Amino acid sequence: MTSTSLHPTPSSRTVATEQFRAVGLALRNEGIFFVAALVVLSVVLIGGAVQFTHNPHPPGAHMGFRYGSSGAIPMFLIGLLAPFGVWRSEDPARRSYHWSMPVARGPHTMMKLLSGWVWLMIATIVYLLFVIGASHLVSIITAQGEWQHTAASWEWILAFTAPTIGYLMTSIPVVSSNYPWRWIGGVVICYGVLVAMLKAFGMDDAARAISTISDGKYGFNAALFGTINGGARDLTRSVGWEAIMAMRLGV
Amino acid sequence: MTSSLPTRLRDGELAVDTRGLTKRFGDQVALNDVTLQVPTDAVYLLVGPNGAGKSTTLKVLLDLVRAEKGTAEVFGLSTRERAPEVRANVGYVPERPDWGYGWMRVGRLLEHHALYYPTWDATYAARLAQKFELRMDRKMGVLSKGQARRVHLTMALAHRPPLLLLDEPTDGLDPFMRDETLGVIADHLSESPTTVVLSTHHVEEVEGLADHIGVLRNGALRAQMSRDDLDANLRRYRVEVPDGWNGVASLDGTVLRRVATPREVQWTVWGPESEIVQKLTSAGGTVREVARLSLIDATLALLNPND
Repeated sequence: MTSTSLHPTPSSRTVATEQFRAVGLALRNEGIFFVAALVVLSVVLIGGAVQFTHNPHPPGAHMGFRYGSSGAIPMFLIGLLAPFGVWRSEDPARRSYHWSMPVARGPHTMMKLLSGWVWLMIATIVYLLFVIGASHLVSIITAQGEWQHTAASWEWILAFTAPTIGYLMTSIPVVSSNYPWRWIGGVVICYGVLVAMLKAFGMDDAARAISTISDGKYGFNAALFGTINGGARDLTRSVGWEAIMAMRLGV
Repeated sequence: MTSSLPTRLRDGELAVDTRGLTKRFGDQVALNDVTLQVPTDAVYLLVGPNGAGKSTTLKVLLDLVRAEKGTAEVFGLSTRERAPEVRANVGYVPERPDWGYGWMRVGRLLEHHALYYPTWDATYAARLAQKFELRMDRKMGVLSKGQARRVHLTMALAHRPPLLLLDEPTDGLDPFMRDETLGVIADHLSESPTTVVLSTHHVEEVEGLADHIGVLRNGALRAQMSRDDLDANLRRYRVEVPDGWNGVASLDGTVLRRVATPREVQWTVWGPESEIVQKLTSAGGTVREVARLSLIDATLALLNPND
């Protein structure tokens, strides 16, 4: 043992809080861009609604802005890109600062990942508030009756599950590789080429089996948008919905 | 020839104790059976040419790089099993200037760093920032190498760690700031009891600081010793020799450097002075001068591949 008086490590709470703040700072520019995009979209929607009200339009014409299952797509895309902001300038080859801190490497990385996810969920809430607010405002301006949303509950859940899945999908190559785009592109291209080749060689059953990764009951389309086989909406196919149902049933 | 240079220190409490560290990067040997012994409160100068394994050794101590063989302990803590505790007690200045977040402003990075070190001394950090003329509003990514190095030094010193690992701490600094930085390190050592492992190519700058030296070449620790040992045992001998002189066979393994002219030979030899002089004289040489070596000359002699 040593006679030197040793210094303590920081508390997990301090590190987690600071990671949350630091990741928020890292994503600040993206956040400003996101809010600016929502503001621009609001202006366009309000402008369109005002124009619709003042200009003559055929009877029965309708202008509305409603949330549906495809409404999760923007947040899914943001979720896909968010890890690049969270780990900015920190590919594994340049991550020695993060690793040289007095915290175990694995938990430290998880804290950073989780911080990014929390910010993503905050952005999702802001996005949903925008959607609700904008659709409410549009219905008031166009005086098209009582505002209401037609989306099912599971479609609202998609707004959280879709970006979460996107975030996790991209986080894996971003955290573990110096060339995440190569991995992402490589996997997507290999998947497409494989399916195309199986079809070209008449191996339709094999192609269908592989395609379940995207279109199957538990495929990406079902997980992200609640759709299977290119569009049939089925709320029970949503992973998020199934998770909620499982929780409610205590499974 | 086999070297008689010392590679083990005498007994005493060690701040850093590695045993048989071996690390390869592909087919290149970065460290080969390195047993580094840094006594507590020592200023240990680690020297070697580029690619000798100095930076890798420091990274192993922080568990940034893992050795394939061997063990490393810092203050008795395994660097592998208790890495966070080890890192809490180390102030590190890396060789690379892009360490830290390039998108963060200097002031925010210091704030970020401070939260990871409960012993962070904010007053001292402010004093260091003033000495190093840090501009808190600038982003790390736009700083020059020298400016980044000064930020890194502030980060390393301000939590007053018991161990400093400084990898080329004055690299990229102008002469004035280099002098200022060495003064800050000297002041720090006088204020806080600290063990320092310092890797630098500017050996002459740390002549007054270093009290131990380790010499790495091709990933192997060629020698390590205290300055007292170095000063006591390393000499340059100017010897006048007769025509057709055959040399001194008994000095094999202790001669680090040999420069010959027709009637005179200069030897840099490791060993007790009286013994060497006696061997040279009894072999027929006439010793004209015996000189001590400066740290830089001693380093060059110890690094000499002719051993």
